[in-house]
Amino acid sequence: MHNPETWRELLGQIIKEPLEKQRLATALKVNTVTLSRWVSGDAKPRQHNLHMLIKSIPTHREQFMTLVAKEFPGFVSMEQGDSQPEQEISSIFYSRVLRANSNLPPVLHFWSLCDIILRQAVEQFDPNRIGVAVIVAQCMPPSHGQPVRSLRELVGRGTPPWNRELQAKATFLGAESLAGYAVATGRPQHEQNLTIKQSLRPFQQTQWEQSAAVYPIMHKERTAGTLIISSTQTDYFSPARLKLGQDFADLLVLAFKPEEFYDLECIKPEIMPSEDVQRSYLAQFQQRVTAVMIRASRQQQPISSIEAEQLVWQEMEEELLQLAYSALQEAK
Amino acid sequence: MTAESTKSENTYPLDPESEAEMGRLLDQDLLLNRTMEGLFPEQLDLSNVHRVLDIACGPGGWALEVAFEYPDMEVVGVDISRLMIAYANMRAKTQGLDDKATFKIMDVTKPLDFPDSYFDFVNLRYLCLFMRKEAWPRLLAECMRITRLGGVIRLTEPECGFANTPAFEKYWGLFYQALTKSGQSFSPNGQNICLTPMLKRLLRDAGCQNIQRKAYVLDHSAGEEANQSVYQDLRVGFVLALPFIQKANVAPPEVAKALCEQGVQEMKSEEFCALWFILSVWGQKL
Repeated sequence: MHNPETWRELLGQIIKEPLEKQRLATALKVNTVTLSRWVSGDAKPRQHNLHMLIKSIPTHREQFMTLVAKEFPGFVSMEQGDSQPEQEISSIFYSRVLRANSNLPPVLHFWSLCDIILRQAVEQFDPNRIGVAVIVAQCMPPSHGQPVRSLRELVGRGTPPWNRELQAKATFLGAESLAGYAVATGRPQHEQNLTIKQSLRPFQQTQWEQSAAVYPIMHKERTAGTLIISSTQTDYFSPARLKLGQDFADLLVLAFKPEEFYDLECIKPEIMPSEDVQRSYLAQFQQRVTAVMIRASRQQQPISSIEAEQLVWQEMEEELLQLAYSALQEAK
Repeated sequence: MTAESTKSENTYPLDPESEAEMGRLLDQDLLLNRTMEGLFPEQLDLSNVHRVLDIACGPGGWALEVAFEYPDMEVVGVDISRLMIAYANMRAKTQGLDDKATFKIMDVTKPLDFPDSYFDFVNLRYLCLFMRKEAWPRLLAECMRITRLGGVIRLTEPECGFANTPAFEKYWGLFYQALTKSGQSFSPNGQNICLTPMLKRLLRDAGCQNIQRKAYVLDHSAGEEANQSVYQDLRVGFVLALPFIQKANVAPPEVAKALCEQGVQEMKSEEFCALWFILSVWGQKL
């Protein structure tokens, strides 16, 4: 595929794939024929169309903007805006978080506080909505006198192509992940280009992710989990953005209870299976929780749904670790 | 207007100054934008829409989306909550949209502080939670005054609480009874809000013409795409609505609390089936 010289050529390359063509037409609320007419030069898109087009192809954003500038210089300067993303957390936001920390009812405390912080993080990291995801992963409570062996993604938020709403997440992360490495070392980690292996640090690239930064959520040298920030762009984590990520990780400390923090020597992540393998296990989660509750009830020892969920998470963690271990043994 | 004065006059059943409520409203805006397949009615010619007002804008979810998606529009949002407005303005600044979107504290049950014939599009979404039924004609008369000739007023309201699980339905029932007691329901027996059947009449009585409507359905049953989003919305909404239900004395407080907790649990069940209906009605000032 040759390097396109106009935005029309670039669009032509993108919409060669029929599904992508349909996706873009739907996103832009135009006919697929209209897209073809833009490519051929028979029609000129409106400013609003170009705006939506750039939003809908985040991985081509920079190239597209450069090419569009040749034909519509005024549009590009407007699109870029003169405002730089805020790279410091404002005192107003700190005060909001502290107020929420004091006032939120216990049952909503963790989720709502994470929500407030992650929402702000997304808006500051990605005001132009070119694609950022932020996720909080928590250290799995250890069982049977063992160390923390994995993290579990709890909650996430993003800008397209990721989901913008607050989503409960569930994937387990272990020693194979950048998050596992960050909690094991107690230090933030980042990768500016996940498409090429640049270091010895472990990482597993997720869909759309081109670069990532991970921060342990630490209080008094003890760790509760990690803040994971992913971007659709390579080299996204400038020094200012890396500092901003640390500030958000520091704020997230407020969401966790004191007993949810672990000493560094108690955190020894093990290998977890890939997200694809985990998915089939995680799909059974609710079914297994119900089964545990029914069983407990039959044994005249009823347990709450929260207790049942915790039990099932621990069972699943054990099973997945065993699965990864067996796969490693077989590979040897 | 101070926070204290707004608090005493406020009929909103959930604490409008709560951070948890603000987060819930922001996600609800995203959910509704997606369910309604866009920010404006698809039949509307947007070439004449430049000034937009969002009434009871909360933390600015809809208004900021408009400012982002349509850079040539100027959007104003008004709400009674000082916290929501402060946050909306902060979000506008963070997103670099503060030159296109502004937010003001305003009690929309009182005369609106805007000139005549000022807006091209006036949006009112989910006002059911605080509007007393007798307040609607006054508000819509004000909307007509500030809308230009040819401009559009749109009302969007829900009917929720339809599910196949007992506590979830019962808890919604208590909520509707409490709303009825506080004069916010058009239902003669308090079984629901009964606002959606009224929307067309309310607009027509206000003098709107060319009235059109579109219904949407949000399936938040187990396994459906919206299940998680609505679960997150309602798990917060249920908890925040509990003091309002208990204060209305429509059930013993411990019964209401148990239904609240059980209702949230039921939403996680694999058997859970539930629908949320939304009706959007819009008309022109001619």
